[in-house]
Amino acid sequence: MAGVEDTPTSGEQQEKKPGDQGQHINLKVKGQDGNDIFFRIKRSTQLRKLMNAYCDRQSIDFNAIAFLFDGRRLRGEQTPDELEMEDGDEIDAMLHQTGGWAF
Amino acid sequence: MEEPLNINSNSIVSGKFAYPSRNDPEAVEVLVSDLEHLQDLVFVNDTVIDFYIKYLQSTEGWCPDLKNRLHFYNSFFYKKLHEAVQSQKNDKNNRKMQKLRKWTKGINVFEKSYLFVPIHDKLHWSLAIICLPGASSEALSPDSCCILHFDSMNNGHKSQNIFRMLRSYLMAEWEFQNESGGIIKDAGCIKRKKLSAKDISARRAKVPLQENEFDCGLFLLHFIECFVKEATPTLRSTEVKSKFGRDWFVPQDASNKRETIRKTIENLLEIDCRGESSPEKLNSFQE
Repeated sequence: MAGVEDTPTSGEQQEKKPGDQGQHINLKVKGQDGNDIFFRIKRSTQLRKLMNAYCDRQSIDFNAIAFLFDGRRLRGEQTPDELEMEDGDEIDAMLHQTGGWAF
Repeated sequence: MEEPLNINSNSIVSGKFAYPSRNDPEAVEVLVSDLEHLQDLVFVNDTVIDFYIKYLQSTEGWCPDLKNRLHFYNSFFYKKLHEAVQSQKNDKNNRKMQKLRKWTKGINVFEKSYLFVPIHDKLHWSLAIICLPGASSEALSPDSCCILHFDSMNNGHKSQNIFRMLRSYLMAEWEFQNESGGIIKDAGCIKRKKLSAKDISARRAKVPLQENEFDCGLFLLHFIECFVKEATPTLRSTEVKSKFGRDWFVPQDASNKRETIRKTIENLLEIDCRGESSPEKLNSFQE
């Protein structure tokens, strides 16, 4: 899982590494249970890494979750650079939804 | 006779495609495993719903004038809205609602005629359409702003809950637009009237019902398709309200979408595997 640190560190601590600022980005993944997990990844790293790390940590199947950024569905091969993500941006992790009838 | 596609062939068994294209920031990625949700008796999932809504938008059948006046929220929006409305009581600044605004970045929803909101809750899908045809950006009235709820089950979703959520959304959005000066003309000369719940009328539309226990997602999509076919940018809300009925369409037409969508996805998976994915090409599969 090189390149991904799923350490729940605070923003202040990360500020102490100014050398990284250009290359790395801190992202918050918000689950539907309201819990946040923080990740620090390279701007050029595919988000698949972050998604896998999140699912591992939460012990959920990768295919059970949809990741959304400002309402847009994320794909594993996209990178923070490509999506013009900014430091501290939030990603929503939402369970896939199925339905047929109510009960 | 059309040759049936073998979806188990090695070429596409691990396949996926992004629609309309990989370069589109709003693209929906469909995996071969999503086809499982289109097998007989299986519940349709959010990916199929969001994909087909995108697909409908890129087909040529829709009048371009109208197309620009439609907005489609994705299938997760309502759940986030629910969260935001629930948190409003404890959060004076409406932070969650503020965040939700990013989902419509660059869009003034009050300049649209129809806003489509897929609703998912408790293993059931239904649809809300916010009708704003002919609405002015200075004031809305029950006549120009109306929420319609389309549910293929009599005991499906509670319309009142949905109306409450969407009214809260529209009121908050109206307020934000006011604050940011979004649509105030002539450098703030016109101060818009505050929008209140009573300015927004709401009704549960009488619609054809599903005849089984698994097709509600397909009905949601069929509601959209039939609605857009009949809509005009200037339809009065009062006219919209009286348009539907149990005989609006034959329920089987909605159920048949399972097959149509499955074939569409199979075709697109096949194209993507051959590396030919371009929106122009994809549209030719509409027939």
